[in-house]
Amino acid sequence: MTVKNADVYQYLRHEKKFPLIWCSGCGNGIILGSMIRAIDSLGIAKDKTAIVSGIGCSGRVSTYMDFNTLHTTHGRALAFATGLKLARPELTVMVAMGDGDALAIGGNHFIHAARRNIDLTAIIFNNSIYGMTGGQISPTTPRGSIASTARMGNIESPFDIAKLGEAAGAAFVARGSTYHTDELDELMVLALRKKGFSVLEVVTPCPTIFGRYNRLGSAVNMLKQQRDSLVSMHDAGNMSAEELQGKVSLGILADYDKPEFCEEYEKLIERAHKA
Amino acid sequence: MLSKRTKVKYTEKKKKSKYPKVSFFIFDKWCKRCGICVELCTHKVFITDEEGYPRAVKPIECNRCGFCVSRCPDFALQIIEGRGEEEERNRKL
Ligand SMILES: Cc1ncc(C[n+]2csc(CCOP(=O)(O)OP(=O)(O)O)c2C)c(N)n1
Ligand code: SF4
Ligand code: SF4
Ligand code: SF4
Repeated sequence: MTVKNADVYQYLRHEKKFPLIWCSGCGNGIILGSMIRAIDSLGIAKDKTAIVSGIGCSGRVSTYMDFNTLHTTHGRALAFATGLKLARPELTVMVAMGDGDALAIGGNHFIHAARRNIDLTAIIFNNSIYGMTGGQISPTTPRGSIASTARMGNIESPFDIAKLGEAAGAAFVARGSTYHTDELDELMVLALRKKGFSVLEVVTPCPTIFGRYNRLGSAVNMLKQQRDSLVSMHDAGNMSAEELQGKVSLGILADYDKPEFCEEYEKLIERAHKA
Repeated sequence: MLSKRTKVKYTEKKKKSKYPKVSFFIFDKWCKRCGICVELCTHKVFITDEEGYPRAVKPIECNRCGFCVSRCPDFALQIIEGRGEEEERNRKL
């Protein structure tokens, strides 16, 4: 028996691909572990799972995961995943994207996948910056943060991924963090279980680029900042409005039952056959 | 083969642990010495050795919350209940 299901190794291509390419303390590996634990706890077979990812540091997850994997182009992971899901609706499809990947170049795919409510699980690795290309601002860079394209502070306001996803039509929207890993595991399972488009934003540290530009210290410090600035869904109920001020809440932010695209498509085919 | 493991011998024999015995495996080849496991363990189970790698020096204090395992970004840490000898032998990783 292992503590915290260290059986993750059977789902990793560790023999060929390890050690991970990411920087020391990069949160991407923590999210990768959570994705695997969720799939394992739901007992979904490797062959019945597909991992689709875009380009960016976060896009590397598909390289490490021993499932059906598709490493696509920058911003287009959801477009590829939509095609895959329609062709093979029996697959559980998880889509891993960076914040730039999902919301800048891929923003249009994101809102339309949500609008369509296709049964995909979108995991957005939100490190608030373009990590791979050296620290340009992304659509989630907070106002005032420093980036290579905003040396005197970002003058733009960031997207709220959860509100954007919900407004666009996603069936399930949640936010987790790499500090609150138990909660992240729970949310990951709920997002996977949901029939329809689920969005899970995961707040993750990029100590090398975002951390350095903004003098946030080591990865450990960045995780401690997550502990102090984010409120776990289990704690939010016991906290007063004052205590919650200025904090960002984690947990399930939207959960609806709506018609799912693949099912509607099946029905359409049936109707067409009858006609 | 999984990269080289360092098994820390369970030394504190006199003190009785509240918790069942666990063994720590740290895969130095994958560990990037970020210090997350060392700093965020609320039970101060780890120290950092002179090269910067974590070492589980007080396994007796571990309450098996599992946070060090789930927060290790590099899959370099594994905790096994008991002495872990069987896992060591059967590991077909
Ligand atoms: C079509 C296209 N445009 C631009 C790029 C360059 N590019 C590679 S990764 C990236 C951004 C990565 O940022 P993000 O999606 O936030 O992921 P992160 O690296 O932070 O995980 C860009 C702009 C590309 N590879 N392809
Ligand atoms: S640049 Fe940032 S996101 Fe990319 S691997 Fe390094 S820490 Fe992670
Ligand atoms: S399982 Fe918990 S108590 Fe034990 S070493 Fe890890 S973080 Fe510390
Ligand atoms: S968290 Fe993992 S990578 Fe970081 S020091 Fe501990 S064992 Fe090494």
